Amino acid sequence: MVPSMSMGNRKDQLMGKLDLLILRILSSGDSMHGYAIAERIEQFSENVLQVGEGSLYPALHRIEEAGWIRSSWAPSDNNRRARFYRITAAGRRQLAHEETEWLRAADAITRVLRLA
Amino acid sequence: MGFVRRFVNVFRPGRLERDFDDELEFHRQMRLRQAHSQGLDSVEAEQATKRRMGNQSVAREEMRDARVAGWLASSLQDLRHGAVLLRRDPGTSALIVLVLALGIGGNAAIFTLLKTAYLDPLPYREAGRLVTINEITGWIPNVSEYLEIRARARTLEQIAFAEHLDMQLTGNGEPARVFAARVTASFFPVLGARAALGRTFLAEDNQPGRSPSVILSDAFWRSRAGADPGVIGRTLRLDGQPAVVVGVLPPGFQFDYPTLRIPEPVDIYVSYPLDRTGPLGASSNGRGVPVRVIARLRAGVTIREAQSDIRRVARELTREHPEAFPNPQHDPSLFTFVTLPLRDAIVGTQRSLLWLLLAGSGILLLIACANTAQLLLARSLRRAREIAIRSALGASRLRLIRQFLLEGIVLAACGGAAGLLAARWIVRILVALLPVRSPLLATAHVDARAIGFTLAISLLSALIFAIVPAVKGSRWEPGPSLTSRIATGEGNRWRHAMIAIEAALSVFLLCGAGLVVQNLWTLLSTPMGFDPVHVLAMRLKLPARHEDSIDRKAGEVFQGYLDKIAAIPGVESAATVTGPPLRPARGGNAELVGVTDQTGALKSIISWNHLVSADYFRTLRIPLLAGRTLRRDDAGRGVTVAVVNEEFARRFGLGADVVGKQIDEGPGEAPTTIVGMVGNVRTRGLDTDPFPEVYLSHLQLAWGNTYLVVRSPLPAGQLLKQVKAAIASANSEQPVFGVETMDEMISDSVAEPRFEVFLIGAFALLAVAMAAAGMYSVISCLVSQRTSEIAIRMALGAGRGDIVRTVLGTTTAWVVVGLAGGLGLGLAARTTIRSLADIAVAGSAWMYGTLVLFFFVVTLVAAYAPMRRASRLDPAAALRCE
Repeated sequence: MVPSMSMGNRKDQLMGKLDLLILRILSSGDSMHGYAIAERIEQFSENVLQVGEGSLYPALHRIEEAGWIRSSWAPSDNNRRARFYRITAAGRRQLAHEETEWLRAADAITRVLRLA
Repeated sequence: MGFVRRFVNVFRPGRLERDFDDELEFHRQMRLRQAHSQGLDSVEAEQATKRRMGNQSVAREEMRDARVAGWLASSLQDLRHGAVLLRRDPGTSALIVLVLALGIGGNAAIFTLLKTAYLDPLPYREAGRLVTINEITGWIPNVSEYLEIRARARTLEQIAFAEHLDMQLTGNGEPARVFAARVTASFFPVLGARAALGRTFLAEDNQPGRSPSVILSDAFWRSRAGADPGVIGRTLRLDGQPAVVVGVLPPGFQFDYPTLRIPEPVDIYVSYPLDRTGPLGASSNGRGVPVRVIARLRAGVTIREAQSDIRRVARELTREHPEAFPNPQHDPSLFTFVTLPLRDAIVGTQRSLLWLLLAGSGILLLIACANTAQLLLARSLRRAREIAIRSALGASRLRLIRQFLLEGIVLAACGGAAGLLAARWIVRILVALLPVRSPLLATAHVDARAIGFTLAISLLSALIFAIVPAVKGSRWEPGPSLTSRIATGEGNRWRHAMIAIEAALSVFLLCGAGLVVQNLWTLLSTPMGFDPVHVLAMRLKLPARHEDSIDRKAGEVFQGYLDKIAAIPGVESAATVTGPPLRPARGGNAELVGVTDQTGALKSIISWNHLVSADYFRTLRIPLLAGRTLRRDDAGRGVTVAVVNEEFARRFGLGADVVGKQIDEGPGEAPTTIVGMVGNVRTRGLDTDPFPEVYLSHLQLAWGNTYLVVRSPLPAGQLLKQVKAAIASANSEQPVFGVETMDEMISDSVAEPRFEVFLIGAFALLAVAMAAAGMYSVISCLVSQRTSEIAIRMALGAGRGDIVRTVLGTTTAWVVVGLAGGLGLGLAARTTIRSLADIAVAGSAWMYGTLVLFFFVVTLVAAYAPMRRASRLDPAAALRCE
């Protein structure tokens, strides 16, 4: 609704696919809190993708509203109350769907880039 | 699911915010820990974390958006804003709520009544299968016909009848008159009623020759039997006969609907001895005992199937008994049975009354909506600045419209809530005012369905009255609204249109009111044929002991009372009559000896027969037109004498020469000689044409049930006391009941038209008042909008007349358009109104002229104050203010 939300973070250009990344991370089946999810994304992308809280948490809440993940409050390893997210069956279906879409698109883009 | 949670989240923002904070704080702590583990000190770690995390409020906002139904949250905001604005202008808001409460409350009340009449279950088991059976002519079948229907009908599961009559209860204490119903044993099973104490009737209770059994109503049991459970088995004396109490009914049971011609609550039920089976077809000449037939349809039988089945029974009867039903062509308009669902029979003529009420209150609500729209429109124009600022800050037009609609809904909700409270009272008042006692409508109550209806019409009216102000008010142009004065003239066309609509609707209601007023006026100014002033009437039923012992001498007993009453100082005259004007009378066929119709048979007409004492015509001042009236010495005559009315003579094609003719009493009976002719009296009601009547001497024939009429200028209470004392001195066991002045009887007889006048008149006046208020507000608004224009015109030399013409010109045109429209509607709907209100008069041009004039006067009154302000304007002062 308000256009200036990305705070000028260039890496947020990729964040359109943040939903996909979150679902992929959670698809291992573990339940994780937001910080762990962000860390995991950074790790796997070898620090190319840095996830800001300003994007991560709204995304988590949106995805939960969509019914793809579910959350619950539990004590974390440092004994603080944390919100843990876990993927749902609907989330796995969505992941599969988005994954194919993304791979197909990425494949197509790669081909175009090669030819050009 | 998600939506519900989002909806719920709207109402618990605090908890949600706490959750967000906790989650973000956790994230911060983790970052800090990481920074520490990378070897940064506390301050550096703190700074690094802050850099990473940036502004958390934006994240929180987005989380909130994800979690909360956005439109709803902003609606709540608008609602709050609306409520604040309404509070800021409490006068207008209160006025709007009041007007809406009246409109909505009225409709909710009428809906409640309609719901009771048509939707709520009747207090009988499976009442949907209950029907009543009547004869097409409006007569009620007699017992023989009842037995035929019972034997022949195939669609009825069970059939019962009830016959209502006054009875005399003697035994312990003062003789009392009770209102009784004699019923078959099937009566209670048909209605699904059980006894609270003892039992209901068994088939053998109806066996002829047995002494009757009695079942007491709950009210009678409590008031007269002291709620004594030991009453079962006790013997009462009813009309001098012993009768055993076998049961007491539960408190909820009642079957006494005046619309079914059961005039008052039934005190006791008596078993009917099924031996008095008069001849078939006797009911149609009024000599049989009329009974009310109710039946329960077999499961799955429709009313249509039942109707054709019962019609078949009627056809069989006319075929097999041509002597009883002279109807060789089987013309159903002469004789057939009509089967009507019990509910329809009970609602009866009140149906049209309810629809009239609904129409009236609906129109009133529309006018209330138009007025509310006026007020809101005026306010929305005053708020142009606010709207402009909000638009400039990015509020969309839709959001502004929604704001207006929500304000409307807040108003309508307040009006609806107040209306719902009012509805309960309005229902009670209406039921109390109903011209005919209605046990069915008396059970009306505001329930969930009525609340739902109220909610629906509140929302609907909010939409109606808020849509124009919303659309008009949300429009703005960036320049003028903010910088200079409020744009003038905006919305005036809409206002004028609404004035026209209000004028049309209120004139329409006025047309309806005019019709019913003219109807009542016509009824009351029709000559009644007698003089009701200073006449007291009461009912006498000869104590059963006398009725049994002296048989044909009842008239002599009554004559004894009359002599005592006539001796009271101040009494001009007193008389007995079995059927005084406006009260039921016995009817029968009458033929004159030697007067035949075209076919050569004796010409037969139906007439009412009354037994009267000699002074009856003098007491009611009914003029004698020919011959003589009845005399006391008629008692000793060998021939029966009669006085007939003018209409009787006319039906036989005779005039004063009817005197001397003889009424044929059938083979073997001596004819009755007509000795006089009197003027016509409106016996059956003020709205009926004169009917043939025969007056016979109560000294020659006798019925134990009669009315006493006394003419005296004494005050009614004092007179009654003396009359009672006089009667008691002649017969201490004679009860007197049903005391009324003749004026009261007449006023009772026009209770229904009067009720219509009262209601429709009230609706019309309220409507006119609202329309006047609407016109006042519009004209005031116009004047204040055009103050500077008026001032300039005056400064340039315009006279007061010019100013009035300028300001009022357009408004007048619109009002005239509305008036014409309303008059057109009123004329177009005239037939409908007349049939709904059962009105005979056609509206006269004079009446319509009067109401147009009335409306114009009201318009002038509404316009007076603002016009006065405009014409007294001081141009210099007004222009300086600019």
